[in-house]
Amino acid sequence: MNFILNNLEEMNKLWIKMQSGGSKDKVKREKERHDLKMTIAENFVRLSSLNGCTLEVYSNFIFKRIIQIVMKAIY
Amino acid sequence: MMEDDSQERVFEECKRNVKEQAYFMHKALEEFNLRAGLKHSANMLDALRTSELSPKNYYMIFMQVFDELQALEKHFREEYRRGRKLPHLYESVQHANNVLPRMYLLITVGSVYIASKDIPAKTILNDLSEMIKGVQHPIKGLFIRYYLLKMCKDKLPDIDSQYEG
Repeated sequence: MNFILNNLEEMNKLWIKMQSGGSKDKVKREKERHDLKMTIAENFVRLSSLNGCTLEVYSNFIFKRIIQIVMKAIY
Repeated sequence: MMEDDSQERVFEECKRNVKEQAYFMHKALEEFNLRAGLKHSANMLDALRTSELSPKNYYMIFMQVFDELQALEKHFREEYRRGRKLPHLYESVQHANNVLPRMYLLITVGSVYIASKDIPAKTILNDLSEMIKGVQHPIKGLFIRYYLLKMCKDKLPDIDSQYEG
């Protein structure tokens, strides 16, 4: 589970990295990023298929971790 | 328009290279020439080192390579059944010259390694996660991590699973 969450975090970082760069090609870049979303989404698919991913674990641990990843990415 | 043309050209070339190297890889594996098989699979994986492809085309090449790597994984499993030592296999794929092909091969062996239960799944996953950090190019990084997820999906340590712990 930690393995997937770490992977998610790193993939998110890479995805954000694609955002940076000049304003040139912005439209093209956004389209590319859109196309790559599904590779990151695979992390969630994997998470959801774990038996250990119960409602309790999700609300007490996974959800917090995901919020953390998102918050870290914003700042 | 110009850009589309050259994109198309690069794509066709990658596709052809993968096909060609995959052919040699299969041939070598059929002859139980593991060294040559690994060499050609690394050459095949070189196609994924390009930065010129659009994500869509990169994905197409990725899927093509993915199918070939399934065959390679199957071969690794058979090698293991015939008594080849996995640490040895894990070592030998590291001879690939470039980071990206090396990582793809490592993940492929890693998947067999986990299934063998010789060492805990966690150890291998941690090892792979550490090394995969070397791939920092966004598109390549995203796809190799995607590959890692795909390969390990039925082998993740989980409650009630045989890889628990």
